[in-house]
Amino acid sequence: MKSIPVTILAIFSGLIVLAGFFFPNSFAAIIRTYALEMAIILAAFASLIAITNLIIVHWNKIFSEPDQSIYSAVFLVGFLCIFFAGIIFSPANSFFSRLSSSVIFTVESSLLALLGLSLAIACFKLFQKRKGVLGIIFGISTIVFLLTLGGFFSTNIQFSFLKPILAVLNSLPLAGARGILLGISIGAIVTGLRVLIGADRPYSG
Amino acid sequence: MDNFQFNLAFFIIIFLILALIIFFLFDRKKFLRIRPLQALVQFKKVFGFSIEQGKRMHISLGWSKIEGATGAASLVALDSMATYAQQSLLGDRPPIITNGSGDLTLLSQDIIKKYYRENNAIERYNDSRVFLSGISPYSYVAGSMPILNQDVATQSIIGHYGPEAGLLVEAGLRKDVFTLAATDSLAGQATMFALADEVLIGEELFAISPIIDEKAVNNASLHTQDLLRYLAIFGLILSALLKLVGII
Amino acid sequence: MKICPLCKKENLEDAVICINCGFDLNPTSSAEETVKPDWLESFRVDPQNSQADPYSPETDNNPTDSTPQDSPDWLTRIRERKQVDQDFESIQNDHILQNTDKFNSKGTNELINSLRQDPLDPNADAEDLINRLRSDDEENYSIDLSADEDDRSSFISEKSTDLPINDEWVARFSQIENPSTDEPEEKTPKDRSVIPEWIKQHRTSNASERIEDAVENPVSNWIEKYGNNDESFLEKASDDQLPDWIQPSEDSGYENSEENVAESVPSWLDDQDTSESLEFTAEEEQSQPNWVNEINQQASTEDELLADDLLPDWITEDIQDDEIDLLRTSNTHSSSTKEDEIKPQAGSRSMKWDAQNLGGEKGTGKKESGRMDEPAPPPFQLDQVPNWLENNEDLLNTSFFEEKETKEAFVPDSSNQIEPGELPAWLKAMRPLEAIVPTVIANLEKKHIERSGPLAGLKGVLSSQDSSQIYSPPPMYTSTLNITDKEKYQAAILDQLFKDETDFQTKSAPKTSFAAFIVRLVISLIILGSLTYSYLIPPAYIERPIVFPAETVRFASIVNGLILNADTTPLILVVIESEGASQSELQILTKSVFERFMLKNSGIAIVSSTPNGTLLGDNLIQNASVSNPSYNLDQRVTNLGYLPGGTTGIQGFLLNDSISLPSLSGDNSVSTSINGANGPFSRFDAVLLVTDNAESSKLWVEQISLLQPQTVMLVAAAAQSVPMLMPYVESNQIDGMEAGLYGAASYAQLIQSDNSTLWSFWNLQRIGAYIFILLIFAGGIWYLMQLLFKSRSSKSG
Repeated sequence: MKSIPVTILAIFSGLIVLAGFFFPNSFAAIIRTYALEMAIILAAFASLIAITNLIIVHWNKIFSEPDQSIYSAVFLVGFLCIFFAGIIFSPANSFFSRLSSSVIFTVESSLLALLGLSLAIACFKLFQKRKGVLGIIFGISTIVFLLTLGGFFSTNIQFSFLKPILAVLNSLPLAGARGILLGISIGAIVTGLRVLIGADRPYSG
Repeated sequence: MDNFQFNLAFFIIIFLILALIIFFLFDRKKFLRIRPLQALVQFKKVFGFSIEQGKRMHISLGWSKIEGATGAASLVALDSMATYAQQSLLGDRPPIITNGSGDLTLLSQDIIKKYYRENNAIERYNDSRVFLSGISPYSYVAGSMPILNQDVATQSIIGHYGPEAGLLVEAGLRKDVFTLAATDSLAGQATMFALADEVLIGEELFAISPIIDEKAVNNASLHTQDLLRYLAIFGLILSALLKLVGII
Repeated sequence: MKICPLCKKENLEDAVICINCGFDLNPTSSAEETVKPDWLESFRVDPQNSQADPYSPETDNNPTDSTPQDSPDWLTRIRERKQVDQDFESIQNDHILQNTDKFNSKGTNELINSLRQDPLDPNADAEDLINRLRSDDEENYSIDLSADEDDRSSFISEKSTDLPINDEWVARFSQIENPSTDEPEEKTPKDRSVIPEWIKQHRTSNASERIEDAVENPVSNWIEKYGNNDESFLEKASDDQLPDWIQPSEDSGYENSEENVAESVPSWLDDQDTSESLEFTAEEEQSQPNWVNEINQQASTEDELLADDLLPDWITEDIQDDEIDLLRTSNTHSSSTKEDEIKPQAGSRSMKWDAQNLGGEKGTGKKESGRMDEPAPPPFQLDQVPNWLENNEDLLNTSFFEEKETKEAFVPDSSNQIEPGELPAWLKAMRPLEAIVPTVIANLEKKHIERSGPLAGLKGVLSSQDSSQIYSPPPMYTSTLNITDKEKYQAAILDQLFKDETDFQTKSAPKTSFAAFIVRLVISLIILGSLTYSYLIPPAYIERPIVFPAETVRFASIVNGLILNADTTPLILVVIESEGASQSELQILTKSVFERFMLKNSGIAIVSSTPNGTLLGDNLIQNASVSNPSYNLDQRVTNLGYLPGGTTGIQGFLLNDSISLPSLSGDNSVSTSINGANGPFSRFDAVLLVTDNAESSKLWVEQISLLQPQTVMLVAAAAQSVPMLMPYVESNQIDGMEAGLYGAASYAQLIQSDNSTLWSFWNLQRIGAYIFILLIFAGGIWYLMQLLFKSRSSKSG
């Protein structure tokens, strides 16, 4: 019973936004604008609530999971430092910008480098994990992309006769990428329509 | 948006709504049969064994906001999470659900509470098992990786991910965690194809709900999606032929 | 003969329950049972109110009583007891010395021991009194059973002055009274008051002789022995001190009887643990009940006189006051059937229940504390019936409390006796508790006397308290499972089956072998070593691209056009779509571009749909401005900040919606210039999308091409997002793109930039790509070798 009015509200909102999209000069477009503004604000508040929840979770983990409490403690200390620094210096301050960016970008770059190592090992185990034709095709595509995007043929004039062949091979993954994008887009549209007609209700808790 | 685009979009929307309703009314056993995906079948077996062994499951929902362009993947992730969580909530070790956006956090908590309430076990609900682990892709993955130490046997990585999801899959491999991965990102799919135990490619992501949760509306959605794909293929071939002959 | 109203079966006149169906033939609520024929009932009534007592039994229900109707009740009772005392004295004088040696018989000792052993025996109250008396006078312990009658009489006379004759005493006394005392045949004063009930078990056809034997058995001595709980007394008691009738000798008069004493004493007495009895007795000796002392202190002179008047002479002569209590208990049973005597001896649950009830009625701490030490008595159950009760047909026919003695007494001709039915076990099990122990419940309800309130003096009117005490926790059983070797073997097989199932792994065992570790380590070292070596190569030796991608060429052309052909300084919107993980790559990609824009003193505005994007944009601009110190960052660069809402936010920003517009206040020239009437986006000459995220980049490309199609769209994309953006390049939605390090190197070559850092990373990327290709091949070869070895081993095996 709880989900019925929520479902009605969701469907009504979706139809209003859709009508405002198709009829930009109508009254529905004005309502759509306000609805979108409210959605943006709600999303921002949802992020704040989620972050608060994250802090509570790590605070509880400090006491409930002693073996992993060090991670939670580091998280809380870092969060509090950045939070109070942002309040004191304001986000536009150069010191705050350097402080936060030096931590965030360093950590994220390190994780990306770690991902590179993991992918290198995955390349070695590719044919053990993916047996069959699909694995072989994936391996060939990867090699072609590495050669073309790595600029291998840009510096070797003597292999210029391979360029047309590689261009054809390169177009195949691009075509496949387009097909995948098209399929994903269609799936996204259908999924959105399911929410619009009330068949899919992730909000009906 | 010109008139052609407007008419085309309006036609597609009306067509989709009618197709969904018609397929929804069909007898899915006779007309709406779905080919099972081997990855989902295998994961279902492993998931069942893990529950029998009292192991935990990690459900990762991705970091895409629900209102974004990649929100469809998040909707699929929520749907699959509801199915898996419903089967394992009352087990010895309830699943741990992580996500990377605020709206996903609220929605997933709401769904989990709903199932606990339906099973008259709302007192067993714990916020520390459904939480936001990070607001950026890599921080989200980094926050989710320690969960694999909590006696996790299976994990489903369904939603919107980039290549950063490879870190989570790799951590699962080291912990002997069986991983099912599905995302709408091409870079993420390529990474997971090389690392994950089972992976879904392309629009197979949107077939998860009809397969694991056999509802008529899910089947109708999948068949409508196939129908639209056939229309797109037909349109591409037709436009190529018209361009070839010089009409357009 | 009684006819059962339920099954119409004929039963004995004194039968309490039907022998066929177990129906209670004497309902507790019947009016007859409210009449107490026992002479002891008179003690329940206050002598001052005796005439008003509606339960005066003697005048109403005793047809054998010769007392005139017009005589007062108290006079009737006095006469009655006097007659009884005279009879008792005459009998006692003749036989008391002859039967003292019978006390030492085995059955009697066991009987005494059994009475001692039962901690919940109602006679324990009498024991309390006896213990108190023992503690009062040393002489009490040394009462010789063979002593002269005069000595004993004098002793009892002294003690009789302390006899607590009052309502409470009587009430306690009445609680162990037999409900079947209304049988007219047993209401003679002699039977009721003199002959102990257990003596009646041994009645023979020669009733008078046996009664004499029974009377001659020194009741007081028996009670003394009962009261003397110490073993010294038992040792002291010799064979010649016991009455003959107790002796199981062949010369005794019991050898011709149908049941001798030894037989009548149940076999369960042999099983009683004497040590346990002694322990309990010792516990009781440690403390005397308070109520006894209180009664003794409160005994008034009037009560003493009344006691002297009311009590029979044999009591005053033969027993002390404490023994009177016990004797009255026994005498109470004398008017009942034998079952009431068997019941306490057997130590059955009902007897314990009686004792429990008594303790609760008295409220004495001693008795209750005794029960506290003991486990709660379980309710009566059929499977707890001793074997001696079930198998001894002399004692039991259809119920534990029916006895053959009673039947024989009222059925002169055995040939006409109805064969008692033997209920099958399953029927016994189905019978309710009330059907099996009706007398217990009847006793309970009849013996409860209200002592205060408007119902004071009434009996059985409030039975809920008694009923609540019937129930107690069920008994605890222990059992031992005997397992044979075969069963152990089978259990091991079954356990192995389950173990195999539980040992099933969700997937293959973790391959954390040493070989895997070595592979992981070697690959990591190869990558790190090769990349380090390539970074150390001088830029002059690095091969530079000579073939440039088309999108990069267009990118360079557009940028040059913005710088060179514009009449005014260009205004560039820099959109950062990255969380910062690709900061190094993006920094290399954009450095040359930003340097070019700074040369023209272009205005730059930074916006991002991610929180980290704005920080990254600042870093990129600052990094590029190092080589252009003349460029005024504060005036020519503005950070519009984070654009929330994803697609909606981007759409709103492109449509100049107020909600998506960032703050443009300040003295920044860029902010002033873009803060026009048409919105900020319309003021930009080009949009440079710096991204490593294809999905968010798609949003910008699609929205800009849809909402602002005239905008120049440039993209500087990291390598990982290039494949997703290439379709937009081919569809001209992206005007120019710098794709990865290859595009950056190409752009640097096109503009003839000398960026040493770029060439170092360019070389690193090429070598890294080659290493990955080699790893793929190596992995494929490794896998083929594994397959080959497996196939060979399978063939050879």
